Amino acid sequence: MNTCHDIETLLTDYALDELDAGRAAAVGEHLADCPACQAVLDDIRQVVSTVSTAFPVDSSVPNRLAAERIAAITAPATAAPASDTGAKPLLSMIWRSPALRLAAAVILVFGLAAIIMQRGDPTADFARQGPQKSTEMADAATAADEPVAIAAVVELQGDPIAQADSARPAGAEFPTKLSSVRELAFDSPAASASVAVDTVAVPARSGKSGDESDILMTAAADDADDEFTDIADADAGQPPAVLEAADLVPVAPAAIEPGPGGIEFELDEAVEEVQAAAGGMFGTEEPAGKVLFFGNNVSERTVAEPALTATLALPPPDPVGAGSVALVADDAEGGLDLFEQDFALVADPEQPQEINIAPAEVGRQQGAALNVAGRPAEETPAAAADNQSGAITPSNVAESLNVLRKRTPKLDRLPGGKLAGKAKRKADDGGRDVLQLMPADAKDEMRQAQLPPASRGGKRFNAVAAAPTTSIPLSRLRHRPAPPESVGRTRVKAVAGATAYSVAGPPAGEEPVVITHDFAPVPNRNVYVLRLAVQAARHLADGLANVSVQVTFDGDAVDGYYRLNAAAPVPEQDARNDLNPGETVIMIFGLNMRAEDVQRLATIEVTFRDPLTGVRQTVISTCDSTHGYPDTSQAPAALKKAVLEVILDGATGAAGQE
Amino acid sequence: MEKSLADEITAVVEQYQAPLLRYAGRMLRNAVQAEDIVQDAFTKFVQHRHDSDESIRNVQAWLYRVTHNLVLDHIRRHQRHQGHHETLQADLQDAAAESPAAEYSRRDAADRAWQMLDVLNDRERQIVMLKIVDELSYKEIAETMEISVSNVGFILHTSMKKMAKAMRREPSS
Repeated sequence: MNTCHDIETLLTDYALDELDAGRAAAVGEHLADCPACQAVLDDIRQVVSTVSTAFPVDSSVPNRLAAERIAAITAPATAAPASDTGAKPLLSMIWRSPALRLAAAVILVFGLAAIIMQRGDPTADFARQGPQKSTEMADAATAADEPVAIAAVVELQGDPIAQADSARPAGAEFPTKLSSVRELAFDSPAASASVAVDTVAVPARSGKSGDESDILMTAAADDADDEFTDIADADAGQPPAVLEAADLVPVAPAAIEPGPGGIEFELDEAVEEVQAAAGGMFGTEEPAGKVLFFGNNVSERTVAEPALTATLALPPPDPVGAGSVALVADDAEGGLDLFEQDFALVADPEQPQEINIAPAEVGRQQGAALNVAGRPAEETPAAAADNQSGAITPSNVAESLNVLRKRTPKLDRLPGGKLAGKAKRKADDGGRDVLQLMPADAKDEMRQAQLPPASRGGKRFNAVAAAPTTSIPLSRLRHRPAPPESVGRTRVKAVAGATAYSVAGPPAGEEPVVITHDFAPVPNRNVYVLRLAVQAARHLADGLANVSVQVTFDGDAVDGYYRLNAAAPVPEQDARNDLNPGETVIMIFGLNMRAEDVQRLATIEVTFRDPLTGVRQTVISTCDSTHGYPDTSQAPAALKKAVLEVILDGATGAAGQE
Repeated sequence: MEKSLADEITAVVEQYQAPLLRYAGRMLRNAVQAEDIVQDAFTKFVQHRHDSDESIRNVQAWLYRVTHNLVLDHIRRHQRHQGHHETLQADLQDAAAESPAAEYSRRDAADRAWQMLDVLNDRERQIVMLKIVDELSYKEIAETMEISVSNVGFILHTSMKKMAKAMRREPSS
């Protein structure tokens, strides 16, 4: 079977001559009769041609590096051990690397600022300069003062631990392992730059003494040794300290902890760039998909940036039983992919459990939905109040984001041991959307108790590199759970719950009732989702009375069913259901399938009393393979959403009745 | 430093300098910048070998990734400071070797190519470049990117569609 869908996925391979002869012939045969696929192929070939033309072989580029360049590369390897002459190789390394030179210059700028502030100079002057000034200073240093900058870096690197200690708030979780000599931290306002995570704190722009409000964090690229982020430019022209998703692409386990002012994620509409807070912070490998949050708060974010490390810190306040985390990928093509993993939480505040979804191979994943389910096995009254559901909520997300803090004994003694917060999404300047995690009072108390006096107030971001986490690579999250327990019935009569489930539907035609239905498979499961809509035509003067909907599933295809959008079993018949003109009843079923190849899935009979004649009529519609989508990528959004619900509900909908 | 490490680094440089130079050169169209980038990549490799106890499992993948990131960093810095790809293209060194018409055509293609590449993320962009520019096979790309061969095909196809969409959106620019 060579449908357009089958062929379309091969067109790039075909254009790039990566298909074997047999499949290439099949594609060619299809293309001869399919102008639509031919048009797609033409587009792909034009893209290939454009890129190929744009980047021709550059004959001016040599095949070998110059001898002096190779000597410069290999020199450190042949030199004495670094401990003997630590500064020289590092200095030369920095000197040779433009990126390191820039980093050095930036570090110098902030280092000088720190020194100035340590001497008691007010922050106001520096604050008034703002980040743009910092940029200028950094650029100037890069251009003119490189030797000075390098010297300063070397000097500062001489005793990184001592300096890190001087900037470390008591009890806070700073990186305990300084992975290299480039781990730098200054006294408040802190600036640190490490191979793994670069952080820079800039003084308060309010000019108030002691207000350390604005801290910009940037991070290195995903490879720890790849590159310093251009710190100087990262904050240019952005008055509030902003944590840019683009700068968070980086490192393995890194948790971002919100400060009293909350974390703001700036969403750049121009590039559909987003990261989100609720549910933990995570991203995906591919852009342009969507991040969906499920649970008590369903929200949706578009993601364009490559993977953040997804760290979901689960609060461990009480004895907690097993739960499950489901990551549902919604790729740009609309396809779904499912990852699930059960986990167990232990009631040990010293060892909080984190589900860390590392940027691993995720196949087609382009977006993600994250759901965390599971209730505490034993809830204290206080916990029950705060955890009405085991699913992630804004409040326990706020708590989750701070779970690392709970490692400190000081935090453990905080009243109630709880954090609360609320998530707020607001429109900001210039059409930017900002998701802001606002802490509640309890959280402020904790934060204030935690930070040293010089750090109180304002916003603070700490990048905790190499934080202890339990990493579960996505590859290990792949899981194909058994389909839900079959009810072993193949026949259901369902009567519309018009009031509860009606929504405005599309305009109806001339018929008094319009029946629409479609179905799609749940990825990796032997389950289909059937979506059935019965609409009373809009042109009716009166509604349809005594509407009943009877669905008869084909026993050859369907092994069992369950109703998804009904809290209780559907009554077999109800003579008192009416549908107003235009009103639609939607019924969604999860179907345990006997066979994948559906000839006929179900027969739908809708019986009602004609408002004009008063005569009872029955309209019958057959749901067969023509109404199905071979995969969810082709399904309409409503059906796809139903599939997601099946995934996230664990396919445990209420069973229908005979 | 131990002789074995020096030997290892020399061997790595010998083995990978040509493909990395070719890769960076075709993206940057500037021999000096390409050499700078590749030198930096090797320097980072040396630095990593000095600083870390962890060995690099796939040196080729590591070097390509670092080189790719360095190139993109270079381009981004250039963009930030100068504004657009046009400036990058203005750096072309071999322009004189081309006829005016050919040069115009290539620059126009470069403009359009960058606009299309801009809709991709880093990984997609690197895979596209490895395939179209470096003409690596799917298998070689899979090894370089440390992903499966089928994933290479999928990502390429997705990227092509994104780029085609961008191309249709900006047909003349």
